[in-house]
Amino acid sequence: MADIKKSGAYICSGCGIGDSVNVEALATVATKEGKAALTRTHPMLCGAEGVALVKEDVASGAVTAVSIAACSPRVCYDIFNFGENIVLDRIDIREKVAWSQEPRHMETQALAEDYIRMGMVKIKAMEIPIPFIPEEPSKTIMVLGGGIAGMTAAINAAKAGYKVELVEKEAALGGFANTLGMRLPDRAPYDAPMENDIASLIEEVIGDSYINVHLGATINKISGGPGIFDVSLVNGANKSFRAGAIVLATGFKSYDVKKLTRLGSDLPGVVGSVEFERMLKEGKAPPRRIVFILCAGSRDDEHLPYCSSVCCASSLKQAWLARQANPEASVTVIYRDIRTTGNMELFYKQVQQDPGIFMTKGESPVVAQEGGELSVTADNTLLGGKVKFMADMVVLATGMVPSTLDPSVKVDKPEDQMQDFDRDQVGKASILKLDYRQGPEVPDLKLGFPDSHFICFPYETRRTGIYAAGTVRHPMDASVAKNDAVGAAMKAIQCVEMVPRGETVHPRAGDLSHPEFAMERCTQCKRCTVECPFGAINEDEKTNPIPVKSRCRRCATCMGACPVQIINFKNYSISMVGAMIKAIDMPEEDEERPRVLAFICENDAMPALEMAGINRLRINPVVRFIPLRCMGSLNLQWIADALSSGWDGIMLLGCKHGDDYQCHNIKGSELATTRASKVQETLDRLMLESERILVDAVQISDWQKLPKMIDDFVEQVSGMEPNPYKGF
Amino acid sequence: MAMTEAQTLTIQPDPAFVKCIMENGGETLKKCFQCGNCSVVCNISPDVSPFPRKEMVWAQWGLSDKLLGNADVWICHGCADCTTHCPRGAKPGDVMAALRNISFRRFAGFDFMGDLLARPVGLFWLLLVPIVWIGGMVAVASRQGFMSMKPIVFSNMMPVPAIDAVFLPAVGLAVVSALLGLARFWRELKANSPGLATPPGSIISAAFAVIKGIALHEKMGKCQTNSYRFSSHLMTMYGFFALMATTGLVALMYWINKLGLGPVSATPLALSHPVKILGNIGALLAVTGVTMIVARRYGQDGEKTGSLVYYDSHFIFILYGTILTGIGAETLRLLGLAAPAFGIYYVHLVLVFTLLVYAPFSKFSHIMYRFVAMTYARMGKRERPGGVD
Repeated sequence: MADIKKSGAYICSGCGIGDSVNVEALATVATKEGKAALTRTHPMLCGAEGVALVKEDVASGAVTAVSIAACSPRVCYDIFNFGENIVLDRIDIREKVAWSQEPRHMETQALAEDYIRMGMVKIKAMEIPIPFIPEEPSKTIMVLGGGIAGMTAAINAAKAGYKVELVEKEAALGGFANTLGMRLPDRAPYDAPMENDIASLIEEVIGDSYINVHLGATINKISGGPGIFDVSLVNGANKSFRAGAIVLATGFKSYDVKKLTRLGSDLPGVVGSVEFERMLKEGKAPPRRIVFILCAGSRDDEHLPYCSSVCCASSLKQAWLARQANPEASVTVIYRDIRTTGNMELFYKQVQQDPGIFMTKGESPVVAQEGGELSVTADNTLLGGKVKFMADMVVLATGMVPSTLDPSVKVDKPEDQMQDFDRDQVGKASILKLDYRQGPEVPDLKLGFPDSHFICFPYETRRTGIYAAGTVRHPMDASVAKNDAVGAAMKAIQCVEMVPRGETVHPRAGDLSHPEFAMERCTQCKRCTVECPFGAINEDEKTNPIPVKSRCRRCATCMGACPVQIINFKNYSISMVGAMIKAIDMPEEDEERPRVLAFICENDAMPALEMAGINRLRINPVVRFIPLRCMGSLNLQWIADALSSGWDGIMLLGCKHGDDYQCHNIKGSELATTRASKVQETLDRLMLESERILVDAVQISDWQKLPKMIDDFVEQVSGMEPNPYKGF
Repeated sequence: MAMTEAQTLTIQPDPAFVKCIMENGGETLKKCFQCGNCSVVCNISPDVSPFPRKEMVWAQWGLSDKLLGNADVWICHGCADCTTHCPRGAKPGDVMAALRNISFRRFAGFDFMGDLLARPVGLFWLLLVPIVWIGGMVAVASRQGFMSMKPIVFSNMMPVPAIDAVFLPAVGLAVVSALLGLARFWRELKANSPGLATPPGSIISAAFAVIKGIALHEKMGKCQTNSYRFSSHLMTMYGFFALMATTGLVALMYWINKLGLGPVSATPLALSHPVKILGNIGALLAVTGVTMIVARRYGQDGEKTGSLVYYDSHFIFILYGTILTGIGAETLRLLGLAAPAFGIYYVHLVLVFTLLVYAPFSKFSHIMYRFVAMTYARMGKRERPGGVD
């Protein structure tokens, strides 16, 4: 990279931009105010000719930084790619201006010119990231848990050519599948239980030279991070090794049947499904009258509030096997809803055909002892009202609890000193023993399953490089767990491949930038180590932050958190955004042209804004948008900068937070909301109204509502006096 | 029909009865997953406690008392709209038909009769009785040389007193067992369908309303999947009644002459005689109706009419045979072909015997069970709001 940065501004007039704004005037702004070394306009910059134009300038050394003022950075990113040594920025004047503003209007032109000004100061501040590459990274994948999911993940990683360290706490591989006699069918015609073939999977693992199996082993400690996880085991030999990524496949525990006293779990003859399975496997003949109660302790706020999705099918399997073992048996199944998803429906249909299996919907079942018999009473059945069945045995179909939970675990800290991440550790089984400042285990969602978004980020836990698979992730049957294991293995492979290149894996896959700490100014306030959503920053004994960069997801939450602004990225910094805030042409107080600054999350709110543009909805022209990597990167300095530069209002448009959060970085928008609430003080100090700042959540699907949301805020701001700091 | 919500009912599943339903035409019963589509699509099911969903549920548990003492089984006209719309292929229409098959068999008593009518092998014994009995009567009572007498007069072979000697006691027996069956059915209805309104409506007015409904085939008119049934069944029913009336009138005329109460026309009647006209119209209606039924049920779209079981085929073909042999005998008589005419007349008599005398044990008895069940339901005001019961 040349010592002196030569920025080129390339302004496209295609896609209606030229019809909407005066492109030549934009070029003048770029040259005169933006100090561009070179400014060019083109009617179709993304065409071969336009791209060649830029490439020539790059090749000749006329420019070292390229600013493309055209369409959104979400499109044409493959076309506008001029190599690693060129600083590249995209100024969106298509979706955010031409497609969402009144053509040839004074305010439209002003908006486009402001975006050019902001873009030119931005590219000036941007530098080429120097990737961080950890020393001696490993491409080995550690799989924790030797059940169906763990073994499948190991086999698939090995098949792809990666060494696997498979750690199983029991003395044998197999996991829960070892307790099964027959298993559910996993292939057409799905009409009968199949032989339990776990032994063949075990054989495959043992025969695979790429898989190193550790039996009877648990984790002693895991330190480091992606690429450099240093694992030490507790077992006879106290082994240790380095792994690049971890697949967490520790499975589930069946819900404790003893807690279901309402269902007679303390009565003789009442058994849980695990115990009944054992009876069947051992060949004990079941009695003549058997009643199954499905959803035993599931979908029940007192026990497990969720559906474990497999108990219906596995109970039908047991009913079927009980009839095979004792043809005289009559089996009654009381369900709340039969949930046999996918092809398991075919199995359900087949079991229904058995004239000795009786099924009814029934609510609030109660099990009692009457004489020497058991009685099961259920309400609201299909048979009309309350119905009682007499039984010799009652089977309670219990749900799945993730193995990562252990209700007995407490955190030894007074409540007022507890951080969010301390609370995350309460009730967590000791499995991973991570040497992380934020605690040894992976945080979870409200139901105790490790964080893993079903749609957007499956397998991702809140610890980079650790991927959950199988029933520890959410309840599922064996065939789904196998698919899951393949997915998690793929994520682990992605991780071990990208980390040695200095790239982040998720969600900013391929990003080479990383936070740099100007430690000489650090005040040891611990905010970065506390707020990092991924536990990426450790602390030394003096509470100095020690970033473990391969754990970092580059969300810049630490940058937003730092009160002394010492954390910055090469291409994303507090001063860069600060300069953008100050770059616009702020109208005078008496012009009655308010200006509103909107920080907008680039993951959801910005695409929503662009969709509004694509659909030609009008966006209020007084608003200038600055996309942020995540709302969590919002530094309060920017609010102060904006208010002191005369902006009349500030919007923070991030993702929904809370239990059903949509934030790609889990806590970013939540942290921004907390920080914004603290701005109240700043506003008071500046003698300004706190209503000048609005925090709102925008989903990608909210694009139709977005223009009104913005208009309402602009209207509110317009009703106030102009910001008195204008012109200072 | 209110459910007994407050009480706790102890259920003893009965796999044997489930098997029984499956063997009597409800083979698909267990496919039901209790979604209730059947009750929703049914055009004649009442809104309160509708059928056939609850019957499908009871049937899967083998709750025979609830199922057999249940008027709804007979309010169902088997039009198979439910079967057409069942997402699971459980064919509720077939299950309801199976329950009716089981009902008349169970209520009529004389289990050996039920056994004989349940399977094709029984037909041998069922036919043997009239073949021998009527054959014997012909041997004893026919006039010498009836075959060569001109014109052809059937009473030369089988005089009316001989016919009466065969049929009156046999039909009398049938009527007695039918009445016994109905009495049992009524008892079961009262015990298990506690839907009789308090106070119940008048049995007379209920019966009249039901007769009117049947006369107009109001319920069958609502059938969508098998709309052919409305016209075919209507023709069959009126044709059959016309033929029964003709038979009755002929017997009456014979005894009027015999007892010297006045000369009225004697058989064979002229084609222009009103009674003959009634008979011929009846025969035409009946043969058209049953031909439509046979063509539909045994034709390409037969699946849609509900699965055929032996009960259906037995009834359809005995009835069809009776009508065809009746028409055949008349035609051959008019053509003057003595030997075939007398032969087919003999077969006709055998089939009439089979049709009428075994009626309480065959599907023929649907006439009375359905009438009684509908009357019972009508008394209990169990009808579709805004619709015709």
